[in-house]
Formats: sequence, structure tokens, C-alpha cells
Amino acid sequence: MILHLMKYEIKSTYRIFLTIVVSFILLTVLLCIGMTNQNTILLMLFSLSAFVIGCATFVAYFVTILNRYYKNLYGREGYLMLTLPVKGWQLVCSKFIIAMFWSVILGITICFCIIATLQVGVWMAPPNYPYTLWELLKDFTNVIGDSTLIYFLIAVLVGVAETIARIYFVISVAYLPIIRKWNIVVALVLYFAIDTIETFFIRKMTNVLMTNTNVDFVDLIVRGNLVIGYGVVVISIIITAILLLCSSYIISKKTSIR
Amino acid sequence: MEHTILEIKNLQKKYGKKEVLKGLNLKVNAGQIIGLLGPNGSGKTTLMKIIVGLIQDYTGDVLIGQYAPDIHTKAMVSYLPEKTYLSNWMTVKDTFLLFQDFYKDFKIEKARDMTVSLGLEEKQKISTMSKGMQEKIQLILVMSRQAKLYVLDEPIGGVDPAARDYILSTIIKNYSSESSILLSTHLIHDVERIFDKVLFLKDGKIEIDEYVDVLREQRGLSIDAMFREVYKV
Repeated sequence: MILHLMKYEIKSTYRIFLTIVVSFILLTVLLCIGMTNQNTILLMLFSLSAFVIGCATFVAYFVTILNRYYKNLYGREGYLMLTLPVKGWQLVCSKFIIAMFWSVILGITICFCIIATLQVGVWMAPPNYPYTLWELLKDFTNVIGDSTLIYFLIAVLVGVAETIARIYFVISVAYLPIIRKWNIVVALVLYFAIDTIETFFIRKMTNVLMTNTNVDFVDLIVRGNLVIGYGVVVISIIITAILLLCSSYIISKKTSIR
Repeated sequence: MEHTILEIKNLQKKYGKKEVLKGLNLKVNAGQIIGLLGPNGSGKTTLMKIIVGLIQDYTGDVLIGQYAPDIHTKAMVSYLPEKTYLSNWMTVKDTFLLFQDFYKDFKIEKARDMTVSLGLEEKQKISTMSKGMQEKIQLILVMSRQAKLYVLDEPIGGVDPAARDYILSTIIKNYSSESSILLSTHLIHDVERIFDKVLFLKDGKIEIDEYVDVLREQRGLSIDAMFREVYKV
């Protein structure tokens, strides 16, 4: 059943996410055109347009993820979704997996756009500029280190996963039958409360580890000593799992559609 | 021997301080078309939502077959809400495929026949349909299942009078000794001919639970006239 749910989740979301991906590609093209043109005003105009489109697509991305959960389960579509013979965890996980899928696609698109912009930058550099794009990227990975780069990618992925899980959880709690008013306020307060508590514990834990292992921040980021970094990632994964479990429980046992 | 499909004991439901259902008891046997009647705010929709598992914060016992509302009962119950619930991106065909994916008892050929009979097209998008057309599609979906219990909340409220007769005859066609239909409506005059039994909801309880023929014989009134008498303002 979860595969069927995922199929319908993709069918429901592909139009908007493909639009977002295409917007990013157009944004890159716009920026590259601006870079190839020597006119400063035109370059500023293109850069501003690119910035506005970039912000709009990010807003569209978050609104879509939020709406797919809220409207599909707590809006009028909930009359269908919550009467299907599927388990609560299947509903929550299908949405989560597809949201992550689109996030990865969007992430790859952004990386592709950044590389394309850099390539145009290299082309437009003075003739005596000694580096190719490949050499620049190689230097970049040499400076920060392969392991740090991998850690960074994993940390971003886990961070996105936790954000999505937190959005699902706060919506599920805010629309419990006992909360009859101010649902959006409750959701926002809960979101930032979880964030504050998590940050507090992670900071405490990092401080304790840094003190006991003599690792400083430079070690942590630049020299590839990533024990603490991966510790934070593991905590985020655990929190994500707990939030998804709680959301599934609420959908299965506590939800009452209004 | 009578086979019980739905049994409710001492069902209570509150919205804040307002008590909507106050210890409601109900038994529905297989092979019956039951009219659930009551004025606005009497708890008909709430009762139906509890039966289909859309409301979970209630007290009392609700048993469908041998299960409380859960994944098993959702596979047995076919529910038509009073709201339209289909996504705008879907076509009629998409809705059929969705029901086919999730409900083993969904008969797509039956749905296609009904679509043609009601003058609708499989390729048409939900977003281009009127509310009445969407309600017809939902009714087609719900009645194309071979469910144990059909829970229909105002099934003809939003459709034109010409389509009502077709819908009512479809409901009668689905009648079998194995399944039951629980139907709420305010258009009692149009629907009462198909009822075997009626339930009158008043003050959060079942006021009258009786066979239609018995009621007509006892009171000498149509169900519509009886409703006006019971709920006279």
C-alpha cells in the first residue's frame, strides 16, 4: 500500500516540483547571460531577478511540502485519505519519502546550477587566468577535504529530513481535537520550541565533548575531525525518527477531521 | 439468523462543552437500507464520521463486523461524505485507478457504466467539474465497491432531480442480504421509498428506530410528514 501512496504522492507533486527545478535552471541561464554581458546595470538587474526567483522557488518548495501534509490529511482531501485502508505510518512515510526525493532532486539541480555559473565565470575570466573549472573544484575539495565534503552533504540531507519531520509533527499536534483555536500559532510555537531545545542539547553535548577531547572548532571543520559532527547527525536522525513515529501515532489514533 | 454489521453502545461525543451524542445505542443488521434522519446539528454527520474512523475522540463502543473503526473496517465500509474530497489534478479515470489500487472490492467496469449513464467523461478533469458533477463521481466511486456497509451522507443533496432517481435506483441495485446502507438526508420525500428502516436522531440519542412499514401503519403518516411532526419548531 505504501508504494501506491507514494505513486499518488508523486502524481500530486511532480507538476509543482518540476516547475521549481525548471525555474532554477532558468535562473541560472539568466545569471549566466548577465555575466557574459559587460553592462553592469544589466548584470545587477539579472542578479536581482535571479535572487527573487531563487527566494520564490524556495518559498514554493516549503509551502508545497507543508500543504501536501496539511491539506491532504487535514483539509477536504482528508475525507478520502483518512478513510483509505492504510496505516497511519504508511500515510506519513509515503509523504516523507517523496518530500525527501524532491529535496534531493532540487539539491542536485542547485549544485548543477552553481557549477554551470562557475563555468561561465571561468570562461569570462581574463585570458591569462590559469585555472580550469575542474582544477578549481579539485583545489576546493583539497582545502576542505573529501571527508568534510561528504559530512557536509550528509548533514544537509539529515537537516532537511529533520525539518520535514518537524513540520509534519507540529501540524499533527496543532490539529489534535483538544486544540480548538490558534492552530497555526501552536504549530509555529511548537516548531521553534523543538528547535530551541534541540540546539540547547546539541550545544551542551558539543561543549562537553570538545572539553574532554581537546578538539576545537577548527579541528572539527577544517582538519576533518568529524566525530562530533557525526554525533550531531546521529542525534538529528534519532529526532527525525521520533518525530515521524509520533506523527504516525497521532494520525492513527488521535486525529479527528473537522 | 440476523447478521449484525454495525453495533454501537453508549456512544458519546463532545465538541468542547457541547455534547452532540449522548449515549447513543444502535444495531444495524445486514440487508437493510436505513435512513438516518434528524435536523441540522443533531449529530448525523458526527455519527457517520465516527463509524468511518474520521473521528477518534469519542467514548463508547463502535463495532463494525468484529472490529472497532480501523484499517480492517475501512476496507469494509464505503463512505460518501457531504464534502467533495477529490484532488483537482485528477481526471475521472485517475479517481477510478486510485480506488482500484486501494480497495479490493472496487469494480471499475461498474464505475465506467455508471459514468456513461450519468453523462460524465472519464477524461474530464476534476478541476473543470461543477460541485454537483464531483458529487456524482464520488457517488459512483462509493457505489462501485462491494462493501459490507455503505455510509452515505446526503448523497443526493447536491445533484439535480433528474439524476436523483438514477442514484436511488443504483443504491437499491446494490442492496444485498450481505450489506447494509446507512443514509442521511434532508430530502426525505424523495428518498423514503427506498428505506427499510429509519432512525430519528434527537438530543444526541436515537428517538425512533423502527421499520418504515410499521411506522406508516402505526401513525398513518409518511416519513416526511412524521419528520415534520417530530421536529416541529
